[in-house]
Amino acid sequence: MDFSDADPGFLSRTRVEMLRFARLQLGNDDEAEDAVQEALAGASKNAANFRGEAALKTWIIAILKNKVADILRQRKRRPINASQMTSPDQEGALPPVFDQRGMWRDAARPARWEDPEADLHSAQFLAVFDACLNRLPPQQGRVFMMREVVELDTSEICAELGLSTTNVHIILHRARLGLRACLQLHWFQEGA
Amino acid sequence: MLNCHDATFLMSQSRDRKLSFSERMKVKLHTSMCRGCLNFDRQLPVLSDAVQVYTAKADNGDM
Repeated sequence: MDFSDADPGFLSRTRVEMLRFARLQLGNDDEAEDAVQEALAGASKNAANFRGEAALKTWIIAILKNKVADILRQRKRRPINASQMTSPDQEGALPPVFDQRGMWRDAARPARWEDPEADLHSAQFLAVFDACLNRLPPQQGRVFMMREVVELDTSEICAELGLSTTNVHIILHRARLGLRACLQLHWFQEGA
Repeated sequence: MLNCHDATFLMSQSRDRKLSFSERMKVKLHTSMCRGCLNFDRQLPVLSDAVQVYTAKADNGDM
């Protein structure tokens, strides 16, 4: 390994985050450890080319995402075991944003967000985002991350989790509704 | 005519698969009359951007 110029504190913090991400996606500690180890080994070869911790970290996380995606794609070839079969509550609840006719409840109707991209990098916004993501039912959070961060396509998520395409679409819809509602309540509405 | 649940369900799916022509027309018709769903549709890409930033930066001291 050659992270000779990197601050040890930075490396250990990054490692903790990488493990958390890999465990959430893979659901297996050993595989998560291996993925993180391989990602760090791969990243170390080019570490010297990155000026600044932010750039280095972005690079390391990108490598980890690829490792995790590779592992998940390889798993597809294994038969799905019984514990992965769909159970009725696997989707997590629909957030209570619609009335009986399927129309927005007044309090939940999406309002316009003023210049949303301006806030994305602020520590305060990311803390709110973290809380909102953690408030989702676990399966919704996991599938949302698989889709948006690991960038697996729907069929790959279906194969990994033993879900139907419809299940995955329902889970993603609910995750997005829940996350959006939470951000509106705890971030975008605050300053309005 | 779609209700808001079904309209947002199609909008969400448009991030994950290609909608058919008739699905796209139904969504367009709905959002032309529904401000809440129009806002929802515009905010979907913000959620994607936010989770990308979040993953790259969470807990990092150099923000």
